[in-house]
Amino acid sequence: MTIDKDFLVKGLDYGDDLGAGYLEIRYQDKYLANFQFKDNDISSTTGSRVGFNVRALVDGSWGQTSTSITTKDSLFATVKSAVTLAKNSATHKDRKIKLADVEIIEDHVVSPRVKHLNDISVEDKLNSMIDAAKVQKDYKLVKSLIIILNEVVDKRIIVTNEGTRVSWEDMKPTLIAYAVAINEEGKMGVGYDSWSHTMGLEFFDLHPMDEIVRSAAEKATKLTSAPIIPGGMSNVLLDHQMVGILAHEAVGHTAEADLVAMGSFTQGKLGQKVVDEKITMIDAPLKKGSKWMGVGWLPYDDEGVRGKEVKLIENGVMNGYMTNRSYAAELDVEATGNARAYTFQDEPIVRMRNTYIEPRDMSFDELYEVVGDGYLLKTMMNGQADSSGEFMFGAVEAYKIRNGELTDELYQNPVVTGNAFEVLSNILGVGKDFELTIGSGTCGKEQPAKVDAGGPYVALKAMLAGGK
Amino acid sequence: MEQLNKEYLMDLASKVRDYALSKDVDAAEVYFNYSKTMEILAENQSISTERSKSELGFAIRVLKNRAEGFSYSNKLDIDALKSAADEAIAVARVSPSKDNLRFPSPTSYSSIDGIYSKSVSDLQVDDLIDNMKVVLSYIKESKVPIRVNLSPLSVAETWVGIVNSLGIENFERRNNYTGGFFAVAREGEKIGSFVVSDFFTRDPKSVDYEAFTGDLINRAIQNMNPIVPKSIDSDVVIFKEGAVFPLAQVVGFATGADNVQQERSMWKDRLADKVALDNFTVLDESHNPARGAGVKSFDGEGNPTRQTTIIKNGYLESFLYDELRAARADVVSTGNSARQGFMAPPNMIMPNGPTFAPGDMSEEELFEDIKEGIIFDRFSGSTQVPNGIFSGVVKGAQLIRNGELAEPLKNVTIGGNMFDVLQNITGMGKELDLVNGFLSTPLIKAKGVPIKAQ
Repeated sequence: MTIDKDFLVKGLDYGDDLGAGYLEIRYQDKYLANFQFKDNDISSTTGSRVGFNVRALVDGSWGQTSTSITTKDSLFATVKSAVTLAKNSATHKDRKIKLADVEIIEDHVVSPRVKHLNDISVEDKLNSMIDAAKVQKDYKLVKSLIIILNEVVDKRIIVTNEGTRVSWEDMKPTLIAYAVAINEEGKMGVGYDSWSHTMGLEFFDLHPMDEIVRSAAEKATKLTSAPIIPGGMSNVLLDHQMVGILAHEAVGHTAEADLVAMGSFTQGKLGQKVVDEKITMIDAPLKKGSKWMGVGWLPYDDEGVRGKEVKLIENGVMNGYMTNRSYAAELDVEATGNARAYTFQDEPIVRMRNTYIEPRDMSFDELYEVVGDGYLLKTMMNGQADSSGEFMFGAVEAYKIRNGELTDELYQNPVVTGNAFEVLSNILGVGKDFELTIGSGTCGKEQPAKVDAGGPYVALKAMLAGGK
Repeated sequence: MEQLNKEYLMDLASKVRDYALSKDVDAAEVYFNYSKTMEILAENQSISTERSKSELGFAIRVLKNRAEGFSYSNKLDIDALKSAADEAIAVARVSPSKDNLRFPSPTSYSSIDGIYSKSVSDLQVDDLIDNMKVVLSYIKESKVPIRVNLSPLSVAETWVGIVNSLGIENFERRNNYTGGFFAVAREGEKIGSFVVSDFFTRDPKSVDYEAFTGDLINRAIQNMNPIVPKSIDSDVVIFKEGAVFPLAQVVGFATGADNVQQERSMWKDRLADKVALDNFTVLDESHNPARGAGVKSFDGEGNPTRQTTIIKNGYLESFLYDELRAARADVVSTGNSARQGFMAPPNMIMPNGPTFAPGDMSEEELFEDIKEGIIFDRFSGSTQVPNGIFSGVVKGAQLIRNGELAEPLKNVTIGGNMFDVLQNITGMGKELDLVNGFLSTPLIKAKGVPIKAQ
């Protein structure tokens, strides 16, 4: 049985007969592959998940039902359940949800790619990983090596009883290498490298597996003899990834309309100066890096709304929020196409796409100079932040900058922490060299989402946590 | 859907297993997971959404010449499941052999009483609405405005079945009732940090919503006006949520037989050695339904779970095993093979009911000799899990001064090595708390943890 827009529209018609107010049906067919090389073991996990997700808005209240059974009978049962739940909750609801008006769209989009990820066999992919892992023999201290290749091939159809009929297909490969080295004294170093773009098989021409493995193994080996970075306030220079995680995690989340409504730092701050005037920050649905399309590619969101570029901060002044339709109505702003759901089971919530700081005009040498004495933090390892802008980000490595010169003195486990809006008010300089790369590109706000982030190198004053 | 019953699903799984076996493989296993959830969501201090979701998925694993192939599908269709089996077989044919890779043979197990509760399965959507209204009424009565968002009350039911070609045919139902609330206090320009409170139960009548919400409100308000300390002259902490991340995370990694056999564990050569002080005992209480969401009768491969003492009075007594690592070590599996639903093979080793055994100290006794220290609540930082090095900030930190709880703190950084911390545990509380629905732990007092004020 073919599931297409016409098939789903039958569900809309049935829902209208039941008295649904607003009705939206999403069908999703998501192929996920995970290939993993872990210390000479290979594992492969491939499979598909299909399902319907139906949302009904009746008298200002949502009802939502999802199912993995994709027959016509199941579609009708799912529509009926969503409408019934919406009618039920409407009787208990204090605040009525409204939806912002949006453009009615009929479109089908395929993400940019040259070759389909499935144009080569699972066997070839596994053999490529085995070959890449042979690099480990060049690094005697590396005791453990993990290579992960993830692929997402996603097809979605969204129809609403307002008339929207959109569908799209995308593919997003992710490559990660993680190496643990132990030296003769028993000291450990952890190296990490990762990439993810919206792209087909040509991804592997840009990022050959053996180069990613070599990068992680080299970092791990060098870090075995690196001291832990001293703690305290310091001038730091953040690379593209660290700037990206700062933009996404510490600032971007505070400008997601659901968190704004909850009282995040940016609530009520539109038009106010929140950071240094050198900072302009944007969330865009279709942003390109130097050689690739950002992994946050999203032409339409899961409410069928066209993706719009959102200038969150312009020259230091809070300028806009990312919204879904209900929060757009609540805040009386435009729906920006930021409502995203990961699987057919998930509710669309406000998420980022490609979030970045715009470049300015400083060269690397000029950035080292303004840092004077401090550290260059490279390669994002992990990070957390909250809605007040308080953040903690770990990097893989830190290099000492002394007297305005970058040295090869390496430190491990650098963790930068503070409040993003204070830190971004203490800008020493913003570079001109832009890149869009947040590594593996997965955000975990309630449900996973592929996102990208980046910017130029940015020099600022911040607290380095922990250390001895 | 009437066809979704035990007999139908076990029969379908057996048919797919038999199909795979007919394709010249050495062994075949079919696992299925049917989950259904009913949920009421609160946003902006109001009921926002009612939702229900269900998914049934099948996982097929085959062995050929000691190489493994795996695939899955959530399509309830014999042809789609046969296609998934074909893909698993194709993967097995190109995968490298693994020494000792095998499926378990049947071992009798007893179903654990209490992991499926009729009082949970009887909960209706109207019950959840009534309970949510009670929570929101307390939230609205708070003297300081509290905002809640993305906060659900949920009833979840899971059916798990597994059949393999060696004769395992296991089936189990589990359910639970949970709440997870995400709150922040804001009054004028004063904004707090997010606080999260959750409960997990199989006895819905046992939930004290007034106490639960009161604690959530108090913590949200406490986090609204934290003080930046000029200095902290102490290295003493009381672990709360920090017991999960990073403490249990580091201990769990070090005691997994996969990490031991791959020489990633710092304790790979330490079995029977003293790795912590006398007062530290770690159990996997797999048969105690009070120990949370991981408790089950059989693990992800169909092996019976067991009550395992991992660390006893500071001595490392046992690692945790799945079938493969048990075969390699020539021991019996401890029943700790874990799956992430039907979408992954059983390639993880995890405790089922992880428990830091309680000691005998009251909260007052734990605090009384602390001149200055902090409550180690939510850790926001970086942990090198294999070697135990951690550094970051403590969210929801609270000062302990002269044996009493004092001001909430912010900008408190913490760092050190969790393996060193285990040598410096100076007290274990006597009350167990289930944290994140998974780890049972008392309050734990430790010294030698470097704390800094920013």
